Amino acid sequence: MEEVFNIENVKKTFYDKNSSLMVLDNLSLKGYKKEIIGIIGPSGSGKSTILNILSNLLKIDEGTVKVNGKVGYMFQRDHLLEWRNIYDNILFGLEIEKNLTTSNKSNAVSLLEKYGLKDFIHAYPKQLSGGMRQRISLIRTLSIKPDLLLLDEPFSALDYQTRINICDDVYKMIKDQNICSVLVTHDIGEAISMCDKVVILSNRPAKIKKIYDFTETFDDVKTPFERRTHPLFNRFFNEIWQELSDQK
Amino acid sequence: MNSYQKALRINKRKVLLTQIILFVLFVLLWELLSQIGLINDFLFSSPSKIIKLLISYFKSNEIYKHIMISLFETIIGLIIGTVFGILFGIVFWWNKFLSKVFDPFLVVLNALPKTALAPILIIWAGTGVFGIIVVSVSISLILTIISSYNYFKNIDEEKILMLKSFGANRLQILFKLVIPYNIPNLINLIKINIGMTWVGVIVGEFLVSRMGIGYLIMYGSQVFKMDLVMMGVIILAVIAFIMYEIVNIIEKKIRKNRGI
Repeated sequence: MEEVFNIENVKKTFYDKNSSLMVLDNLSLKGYKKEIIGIIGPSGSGKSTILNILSNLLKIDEGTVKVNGKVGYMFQRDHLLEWRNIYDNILFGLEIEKNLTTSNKSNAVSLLEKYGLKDFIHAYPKQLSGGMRQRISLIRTLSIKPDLLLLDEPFSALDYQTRINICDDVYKMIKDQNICSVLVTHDIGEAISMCDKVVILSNRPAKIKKIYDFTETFDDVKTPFERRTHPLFNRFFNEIWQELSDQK
Repeated sequence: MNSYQKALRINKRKVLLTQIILFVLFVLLWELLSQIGLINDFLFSSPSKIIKLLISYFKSNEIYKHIMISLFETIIGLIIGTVFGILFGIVFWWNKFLSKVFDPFLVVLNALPKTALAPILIIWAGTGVFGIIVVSVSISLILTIISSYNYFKNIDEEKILMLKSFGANRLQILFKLVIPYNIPNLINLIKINIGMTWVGVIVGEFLVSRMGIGYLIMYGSQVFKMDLVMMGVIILAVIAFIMYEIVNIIEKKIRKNRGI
């Protein structure tokens, strides 16, 4: 398997005017192509910090970070630009990269088409529902053809039903691409249903407490929704719940 | 059109109709009271006298030069005050150090009653059109700087992060996010500045000019011709209203283009 990112013995401390806060302590993690890695942990444990380090928005104090290829980042809120229509929104990443070639543009439009959003190409963000907006936001990120996709609680601003549905859509969208994804979440069900591996973080400073590998368990299950009805789903849910409760 | 839209439209018309009725009633009452001598038309003037004077000013073509000069001063003052205000706002957004250094100065300058400084400014800048423009800019500039800087810096940090995740530099963040995001706010700023610039121009003309609407008002009050004062005020109101409406139309066009 092809390695997409590798972080080794990373340390990160945040400094304030009169205090310092160690967030990551000797954290190591690897990701491979076609893999969806879930990161789950108590609030403030540094989940988002890991994403910010992978995307090079944050510098580390110690250790090494290697990313092979391009990084795409999807945030909790969609951050669509209200004054641009959907077409101009999905091209926004390419525009910033000054990479608006004809083939890149048609690739972005084909993503819209593939995921049933073509009819909204001339619409404006405020005319769309929350779930649609989040999918547009994902297309904007996928348009730049990332090798590593970072998702920071991308569904937490949505209502429950939309969330369950969009999990299936986004899962399909990610699996269609030949990429590695890192999903930060605090929703245990979401992590189990979407991810190949789930990393449990400890309290701050974050260390890896345990890694669950679901690749074989859910080998024959196709969608996140089906996983939720799998007999083993509840067992994992309770285990991880216990794991997270223990540290409080 | 559905029933909701219909109700909305009827309601809009009702408001307009009531406004017109109120205005007409006010003018009629004013005229009536001065006709029967209940108010002194030497002190308060009357609509008919104002209209008569206005017609004579239009007939003799004398009014145009007054309107033109005031309008010229206002438009130039408005452009300078708004453009430079926003430019300084951008500079302070760009450079945190500068914004910290200048913060207390801006606060004090903003708190100062600028009209009190007008006589000094006029002496420094000259007693012509230029001096009047300087006074008008002094009134709108500081508040434009403070407001636009606040608009710029209050942008959602995560939105900036989104741009950075695509590798955006600061110039791209400015032109692709900060400014377009704030277009509605900047248009509002222009609307506020129309009023403030007029204040500056009128104060400037009170002090030095021999022409303009401010001059007409000042002259009228000095020779105790209240008709002239009232006429000046009315012309002023009409022009300010027209300028405001022009900005409104531009705003609607922009909103339409942005689908908002």
